[in-house]
Amino acid sequence: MISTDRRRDIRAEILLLVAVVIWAANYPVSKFSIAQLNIFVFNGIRYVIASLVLTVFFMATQAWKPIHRSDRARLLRAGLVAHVLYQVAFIIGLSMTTAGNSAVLLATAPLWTIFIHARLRNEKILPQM
Amino acid sequence: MATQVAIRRLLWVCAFGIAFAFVESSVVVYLRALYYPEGFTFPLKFMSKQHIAVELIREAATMIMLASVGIVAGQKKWERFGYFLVAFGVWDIFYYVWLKLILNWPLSLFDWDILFLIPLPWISPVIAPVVLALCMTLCGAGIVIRLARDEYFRPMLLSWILSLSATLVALYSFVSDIPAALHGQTPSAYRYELLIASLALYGAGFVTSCRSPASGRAHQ
Repeated sequence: MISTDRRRDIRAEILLLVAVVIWAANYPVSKFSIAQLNIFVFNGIRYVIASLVLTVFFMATQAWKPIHRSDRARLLRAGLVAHVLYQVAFIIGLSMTTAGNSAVLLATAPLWTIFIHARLRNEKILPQM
Repeated sequence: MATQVAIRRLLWVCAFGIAFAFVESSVVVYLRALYYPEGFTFPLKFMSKQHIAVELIREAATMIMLASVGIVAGQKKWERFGYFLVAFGVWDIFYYVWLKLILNWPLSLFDWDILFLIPLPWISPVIAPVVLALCMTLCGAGIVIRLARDEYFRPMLLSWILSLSATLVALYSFVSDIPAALHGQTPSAYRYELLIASLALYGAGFVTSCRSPASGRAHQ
């Protein structure tokens, strides 16, 4: 007999595994799609569908919560950088190299961040970092 | 409890959509054997007048059947509409799934298809109706679950304007290539920007329908 806590743990682990599979599939699926479609059209369709899925999921499970006026500009800025700028750069980069190369580059992003930060700020990279 | 009942009903409506899609696919398998024995491809071939009349009535009958399922499954107006959207969306997606299994067509989501005949032939790559059907399924399920949880859902004037605009934009993207639809020519490039705009407008229509007039001002 599996306890409720254990069942919840197993469910969480399965969901994490599903998230990893979907995330990993992003590279080859995107590479295949941009061979068929203009990169911006592909990104447009992808983002609108993703927004719809998340919006409907949120609306179906949560009550409406208005965004405070003072948060709107900050949210807009974060959205522009994290979703518009990032995704445009991602898809242009992906169109110039293989799915494998872009997966490795993105997976090693924390390392690149350290090197670029050290270079820009003239800081030493120490072992305890 | 009400949510669980709604989810169970949604699953049954999905089962209907999947099974009914097989009926639709099998009719198309026979039609293609008649008109496209070497495999379906553009330019379109002209059907006999009798077959066109039968097809038009079959399409209308299909809509009545899908609407009937929604009416039987739901109790309130918008709940019924939600079930109808789910039935329609699942039916449309599985129509292509069954065709793929039976005929190995479409070879990709970018193959062109003829979607509907009223008032003139609608044509587009397969990805367009599939994405719209996915949107319908999601929004339908969202409406049903919201209402089961006693959350607000009522389209206001803005929601109607957004949703009707979305429908017109999507329709225009399907019927704008008149030479390919009516004069037996090969389709030109599909206008994906119209599909994206249509999806975004539907999304906005759904969101505005979920906002009660009071909640928008609560935290201002």
